[in-house]
Amino acid sequence: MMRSDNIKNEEGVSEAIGFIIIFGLVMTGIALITLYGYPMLLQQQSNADVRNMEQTTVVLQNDIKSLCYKNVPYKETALQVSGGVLTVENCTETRERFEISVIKRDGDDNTSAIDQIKGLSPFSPGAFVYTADSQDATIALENGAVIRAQAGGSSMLAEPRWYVDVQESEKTFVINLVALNTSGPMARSGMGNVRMQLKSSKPPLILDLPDKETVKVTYLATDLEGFPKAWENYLTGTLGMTKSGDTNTYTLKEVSRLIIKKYEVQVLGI
Amino acid sequence: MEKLNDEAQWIVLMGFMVAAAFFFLALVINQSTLVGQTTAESVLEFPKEDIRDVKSEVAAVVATASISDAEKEKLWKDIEALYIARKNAVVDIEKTGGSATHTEVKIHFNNGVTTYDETAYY
Repeated sequence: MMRSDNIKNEEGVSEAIGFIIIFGLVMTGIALITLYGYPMLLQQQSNADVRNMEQTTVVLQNDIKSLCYKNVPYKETALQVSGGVLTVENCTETRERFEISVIKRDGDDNTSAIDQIKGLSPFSPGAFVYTADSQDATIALENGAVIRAQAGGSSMLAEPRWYVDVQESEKTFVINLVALNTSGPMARSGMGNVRMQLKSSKPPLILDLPDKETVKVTYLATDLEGFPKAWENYLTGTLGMTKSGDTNTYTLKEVSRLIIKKYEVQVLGI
Repeated sequence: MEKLNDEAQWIVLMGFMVAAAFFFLALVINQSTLVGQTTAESVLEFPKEDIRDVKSEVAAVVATASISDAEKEKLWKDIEALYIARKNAVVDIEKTGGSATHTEVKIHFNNGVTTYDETAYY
């Protein structure tokens, strides 16, 4: 008589082999998670930190905007810096320089205009710089712009407020320079409180250029110490300037009025 | 051996579905970093009061009959200088026409974020 199907012969089943198979599966699972899953989670965490910091830097940029353009005397923002360090560089310590000059229609320098710009150019901006611990990412707030730099390149996350006003073929170029001043080196990791005040804003320098001359802006910095690519994209893209040559020199033609305003922001603490 | 009871398999299925839903929610939250900031900013940054101030100042100057046209030009230059110094905005005010009963003034305002042009009749 045949055995019915629901009665099974289990004589060939070994408890030891079953244990080894299940144990092996568990160990393989743990090993795979440790090898690939955990670094992935860490990476995700540090990505989130950097992303958070991008947002925080945009908030700081808004604070600076309020100080400079909205007549707010003092601003304070509580922030959380995680996965890296936020530092402030005094404007005298940064190596980046913005140079502004005016070229006449015949190609010569407009020396009288350049003499008037002398107090403002070369301009050293200072910066808030966030450097991530576990990945190659730097976020900077320089001259009113939020910039993210990575592996020798950089891009602008939030633009500064420079603008070209065109009205009835009259071009007005407005350049706002924001300098950060600190009493000493400052750095922060964890909870912090960024306190800033507007130290001074002198009346703007207004240069009337009735002959419609060319304004030249030079960003003096290398990839290692500054963010030339971000500024190149901003100046040539948003402002429509022309890059001349291989150096970081940008020109805007037919400008009938150049307005340069410099704001001195004092960073009291972070 | 007893027959396998697989009537509760839907619980496991639901578990998978909830997990997938969480995954997509996390993706959406990740994307929302800069969006809220910039939207709120563009609403706050519209310079409504600044533009109104220019218009009311121009109206006050136009309405005062004792000020000559040359003096009005000077006053408008003053307003323009004040705006670039205090509000960081390029303002251009220009009388473009008018008659005995009204004055036509062109007002141009640009603060780098908002550009505003108006031909006003006072």
